[in-house]
Amino acid sequence: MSGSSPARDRQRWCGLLAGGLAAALALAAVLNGDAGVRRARSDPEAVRLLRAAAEAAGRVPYEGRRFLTTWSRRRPSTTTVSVSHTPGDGTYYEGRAYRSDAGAFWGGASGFTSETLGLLARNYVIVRSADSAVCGRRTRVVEARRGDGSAAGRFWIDSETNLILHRELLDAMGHKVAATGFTEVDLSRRAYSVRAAGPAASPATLWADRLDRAELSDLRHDGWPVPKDLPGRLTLYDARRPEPGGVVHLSYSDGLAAVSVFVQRGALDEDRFTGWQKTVKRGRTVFRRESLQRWAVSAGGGYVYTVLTDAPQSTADAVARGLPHDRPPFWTRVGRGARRLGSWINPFG
Amino acid sequence: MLAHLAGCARCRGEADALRRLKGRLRELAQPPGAADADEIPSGDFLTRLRALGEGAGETTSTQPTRPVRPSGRPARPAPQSRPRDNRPAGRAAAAAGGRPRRRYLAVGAATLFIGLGTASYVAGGGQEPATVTPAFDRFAVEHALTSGDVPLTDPLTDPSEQIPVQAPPEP
Repeated sequence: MSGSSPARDRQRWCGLLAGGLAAALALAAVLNGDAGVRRARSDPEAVRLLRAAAEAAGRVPYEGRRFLTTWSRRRPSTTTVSVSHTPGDGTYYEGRAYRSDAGAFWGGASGFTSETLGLLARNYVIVRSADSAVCGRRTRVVEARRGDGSAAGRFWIDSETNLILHRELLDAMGHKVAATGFTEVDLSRRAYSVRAAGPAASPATLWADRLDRAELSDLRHDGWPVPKDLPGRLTLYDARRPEPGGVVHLSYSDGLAAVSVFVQRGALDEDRFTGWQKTVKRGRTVFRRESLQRWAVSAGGGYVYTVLTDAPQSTADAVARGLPHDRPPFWTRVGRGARRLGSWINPFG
Repeated sequence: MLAHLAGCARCRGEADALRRLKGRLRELAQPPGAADADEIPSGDFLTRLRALGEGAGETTSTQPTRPVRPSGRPARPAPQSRPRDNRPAGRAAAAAGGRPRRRYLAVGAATLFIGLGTASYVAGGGQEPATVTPAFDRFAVEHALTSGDVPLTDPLTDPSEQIPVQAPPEP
């Protein structure tokens, strides 16, 4: 008996060593794969161009017509709107909406924030491509490539002003998923008065209450589902709400595709979803609809999720299906109850 | 008792001493000889001496006594023939009163734990959620503003804006 114990120990150690070696090799393989993406270095000039384009969005005055096209099963849907921008004032959208420059994101209508630019550089290889022309203007083209070298997004940047005139989002097969930009643009006007351009338009403003890290942590403690990451390398980069206790808007991105998740307490009134496609997969119901943008709505665990994105419908569906739908675990519920009891008892709370 | 004395050297020694004392007393009770008449203490002195011994025996009995609780069981005979309890007082007291106290403490803690746990579980549950309808139009604008896109009206949120399919512009 005592003679077999060292042998068993040796076997155990050998097993542990083999397992550790296998784990180290797997980790090295993963890191190596990731490093493979990083090894194909982004072109610093291309990154600089994108940064300059984000800055130009708030600095350059323009007037023109913008479009947004999305493809669903290869069929495009397009909408257009006349637009004019005066730096320091705002952007006017054909009598429908007005967006002030004050309080807008850095990057404005370029589609970039400082956070999403960082995510783009982290998840994709950014390189220059052959120059081209948009609306009769010379443009420099920047391409974001996946690890396998396929193009995931392209940007046409005006050579003179650095304004993004056209951008495209591509799927893994190389098919266009969404495109946005100008069909016509005039960059020659200077002191253009947005307010004098037409009748008063309804202001389009971001929800004021931007949630910082501590507030997000509090929300999570209160049981709100606020994932830091979503499938497809989507990372949370912004969270805000119009007023406390209502709906919370979580913004995710991988640097190219933007996915919004609106979370609100309650149950779903399914009778209101006539005309939507209902899918049930693994016990989870998702209402989906493809129009100009992709929508997916699901509910569970006392919350309703509305997912909106320009990315393919499959992304919206996967996100809606992947969000928490179950009741909170036992100890989470007990902990939340204890905190509530404490706050009720605490006179200073 | 004899069996106990056979095994317990201490009690055996004490019994021997008592036996010797008894023998001495018995000898004292016998009528003295004429020669010893002066050495024998008086009867009054002996009576007082015995009384002193009994009194001392009573005062040394400091064991705590528990009140007798009424019970349906027949009363056990008083442990007169039982040897004196020579165990340390602390351990004896713990054996007598510590266990119930500890039991009360455990039951109280368990009750508190279960009560607080149940209250927390109940308080931690969400209220029955009311049905909600997402505000698609607001959501579309908010999404456009955060993603840097133009806040265009989505045909989903505004059917009057339904766009016919058309060829998208190419760069």
